[in-house]
Amino acid sequence: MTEYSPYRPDTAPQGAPQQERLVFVDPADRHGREFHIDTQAVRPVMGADSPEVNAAVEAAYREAEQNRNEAAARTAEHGSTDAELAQAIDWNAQAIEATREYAEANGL
Amino acid sequence: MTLWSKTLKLVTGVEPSTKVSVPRLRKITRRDLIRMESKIGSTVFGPVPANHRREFFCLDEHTWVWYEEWIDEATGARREMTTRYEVHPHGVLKVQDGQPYALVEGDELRNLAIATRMYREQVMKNIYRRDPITGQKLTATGTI
Repeated sequence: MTEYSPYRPDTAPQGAPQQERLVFVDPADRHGREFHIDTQAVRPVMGADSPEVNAAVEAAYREAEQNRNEAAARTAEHGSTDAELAQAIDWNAQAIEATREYAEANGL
Repeated sequence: MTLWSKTLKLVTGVEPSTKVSVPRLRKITRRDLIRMESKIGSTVFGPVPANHRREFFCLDEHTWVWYEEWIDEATGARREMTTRYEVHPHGVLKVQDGQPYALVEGDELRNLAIATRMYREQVMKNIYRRDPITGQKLTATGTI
């Protein structure tokens, strides 16, 4: 039986709430400690401090940024929907919160 | 013995230690971080008018807070207004003291989105020393 990990949505049992989280590993942190960012870019990330994880994180960031850039381009052309703006506001808060939690635990 | 040491011995009657005691910095708290962020946040909507004090900060993963305090020129009384923006799946709700919940729309929503983006970019760079896009630590020469 596969153990359910909140960071691996693919292992969630039927009907279980899925958390869309991205595990970010700070390369400057020798202990490979993680901090977590909620994102639309869902990645089944396991463990920490490995080249595979870092590559997956970087890919997810690139994808998320690309999505945001595409949304920004659409905004410039057609104007953004209120839902897109709300999502952008939320993403900013989540990025700040994740970074803040990390700083609280590890210092600035 | 320096003049300071002599004075200290004169006052306390104790030979001052030659060791330099460095006070251990206390652990940085969430409140400290929010206070620092808010200083930057207060600037993202433009200059703060005279006699006003403004705070704007991210409270948690889904909430932003705008606090404004000012002196009413007509009465000289101190006024304040706290606005909380809550992000819900169906939109952003505005909550103000004594006012019913209101959905934020149009220019107000657009301005809020721009302000939160500016906040993220400036706070990430100036407080957390991270690239606002990638989250990577910034170094003196760039990202790592």
